[in-house]
Amino acid sequence: MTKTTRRKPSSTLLALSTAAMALPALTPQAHAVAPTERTLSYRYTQYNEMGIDAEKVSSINVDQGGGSSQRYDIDINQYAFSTPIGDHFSLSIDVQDEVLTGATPWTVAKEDVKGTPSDVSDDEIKLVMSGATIKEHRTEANLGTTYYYSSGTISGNLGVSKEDDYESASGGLSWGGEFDDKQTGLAVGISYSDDTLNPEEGSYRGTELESKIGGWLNGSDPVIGTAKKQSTSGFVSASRILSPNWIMQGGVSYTQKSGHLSDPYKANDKRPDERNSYTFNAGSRYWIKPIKAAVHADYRYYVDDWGIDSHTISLALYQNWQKLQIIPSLRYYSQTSASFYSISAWDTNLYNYYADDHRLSNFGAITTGLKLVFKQKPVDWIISGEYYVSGADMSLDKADEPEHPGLLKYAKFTFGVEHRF
Amino acid sequence: MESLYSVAFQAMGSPCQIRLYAPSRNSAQSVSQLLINEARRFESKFSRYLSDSLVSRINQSQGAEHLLDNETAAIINYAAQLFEQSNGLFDITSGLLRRAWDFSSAQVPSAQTIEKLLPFIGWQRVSWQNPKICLPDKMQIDLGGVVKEYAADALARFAQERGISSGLIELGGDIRVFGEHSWPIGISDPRQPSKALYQLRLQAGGFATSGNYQRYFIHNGQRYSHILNPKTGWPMITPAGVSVVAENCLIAGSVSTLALLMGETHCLQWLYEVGLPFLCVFNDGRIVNEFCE
Repeated sequence: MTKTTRRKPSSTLLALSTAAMALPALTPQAHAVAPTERTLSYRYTQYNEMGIDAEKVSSINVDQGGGSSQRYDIDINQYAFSTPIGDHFSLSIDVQDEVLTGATPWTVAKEDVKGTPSDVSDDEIKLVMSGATIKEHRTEANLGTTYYYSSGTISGNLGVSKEDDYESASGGLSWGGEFDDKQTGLAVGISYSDDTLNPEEGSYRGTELESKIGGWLNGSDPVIGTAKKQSTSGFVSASRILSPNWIMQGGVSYTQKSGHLSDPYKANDKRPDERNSYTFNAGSRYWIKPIKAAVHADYRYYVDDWGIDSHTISLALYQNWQKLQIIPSLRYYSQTSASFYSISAWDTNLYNYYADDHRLSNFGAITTGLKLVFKQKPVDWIISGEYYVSGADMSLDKADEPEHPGLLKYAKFTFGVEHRF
Repeated sequence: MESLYSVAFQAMGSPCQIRLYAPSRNSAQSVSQLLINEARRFESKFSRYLSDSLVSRINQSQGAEHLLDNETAAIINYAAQLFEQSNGLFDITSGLLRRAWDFSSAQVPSAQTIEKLLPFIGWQRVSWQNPKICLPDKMQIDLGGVVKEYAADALARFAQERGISSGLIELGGDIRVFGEHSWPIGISDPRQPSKALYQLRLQAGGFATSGNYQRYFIHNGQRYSHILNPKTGWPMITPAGVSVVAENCLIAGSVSTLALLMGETHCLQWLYEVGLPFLCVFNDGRIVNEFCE
């Protein structure tokens, strides 16, 4: 069967369809149209965090197999299938399988662990690393369905994720609608997840580090047996076609997390058991006719009650050249640190909450990417690469504390193939 | 149990057919008659050959302003979008060039003859403030490039509104199908129209073909096609034929026409960018088939 469309419409097609919809016989008919194609896709992603300079790794635990300067490598295999069911429904199934190997930072310490922040110089700050023996296997499966009715869609999804020390079940419900002859789109949704932690492998407990921490006041936030955490979130978004060449979109979301939010693999980590966050995002899709390319520009602001706020600016150019789509992209990210974060958590751990996780520190990051999509009907081939580098000096806010030695650099490579039939 | 009923008729200067799945011959016939009447209504309203058509009245307005009905205004607006999307190559005011290019007499006009017509061609010279149109004196519009395709869509909608669940409307090669059935559609070789090139199956969508083979003449060994560049007044070197499948017949027809206007060197890239399934035949016989079932 020859399909009447192949993929998302080009600006020419959008311009013609928009003008055509003003014609009496071509105004949209009474129901939203369910997809008519099945898609089967596979994607392989290799994610590699760069190792840490050896002089930044503490000698603590080296005798016990710790002190690895290597960090995480993740191999991800994703399989997805979607199909229409009758005229009004579609069903999608995706399965993701990933294997994670490497080492993780347990804490930051001065070489002798003790000492107050004022004693600490950049050179003395070291990461206490686990051994490179961590191997995690995670499997995730999601099932989704969408109902297409007059001028809108209702979607629901259920997911489960399982690894040796972690289980998660999640679900979501969303609604989308189009108005003004499809010029305006609105969407709202809610989602919920329930996670169970059962940390075992890779813990610092029973190591030299724990014996040193024994002398500290609090240490970490231990998980005894299992611990739970939940996440609830909701969003509202809108999009508007301003001209055949220009679409704007924006949205707001709120997420509440509660339960055991401390990282069970960190040695100096005790976080509040609730986190409320908001995001505000705005985006623009603009088609530049002379160069036959679309510019995607997005901004996102995030703020939470742990004291973190962040700005993300993304730019991408979707350049079409015959059957090839070339997409270079650039993303800048900057966040402030959490109020209870300190690089010298060994000293601040007498407070209620403390953490020395680099993800809660003040930093900025730049991601550069390149994606190529080759559309050879009925198959799309996708290759993409991404390089991420982060640092305290790239942040918009300058912190008083030295840079966290665990801030990441990573490279990500993806190969994918998608078949429509 | 529904059966297939067919009727052939002549409208808009072309052979047409209606094929409907209906519960009885009576119901098929009564709906078909309404559809034929509707096709004739389009013809009497938009034909430039009928002196009392709306288009003829606009063309005879000698610079006066016309307030258009919704349907006509939307068609003109759509044509304006085609003008923009084709960088001025699709132009409903270019029909005047037929005075210079008589394809039945096979005569190449003088450059002077064409030069004299060019000041009266160009959509940018028309004052168009939806729904008001004001055509400068001596200028003319011709909606032939969109009305037949749109009429196929309109007839399909008309049939559905009268309870027909599945059918095919063909107006001179422009096809719109609707409902659950899929229909075989043959594409003939532009260079040998009696020879079938490819057959596709179409369900719920539009199909149209544009080609340079329908009208042309050969003068001193040079092939002059009826596809004229409205900016220069001279024929263009276009691919031999482009067939397109889209959501509706109007879009399929516009995309195949615009692809032809992009010319032999640019049409493929343009078609890939638009992203609709197509089949393109070049003058040297090369075929690019992106229908791929």
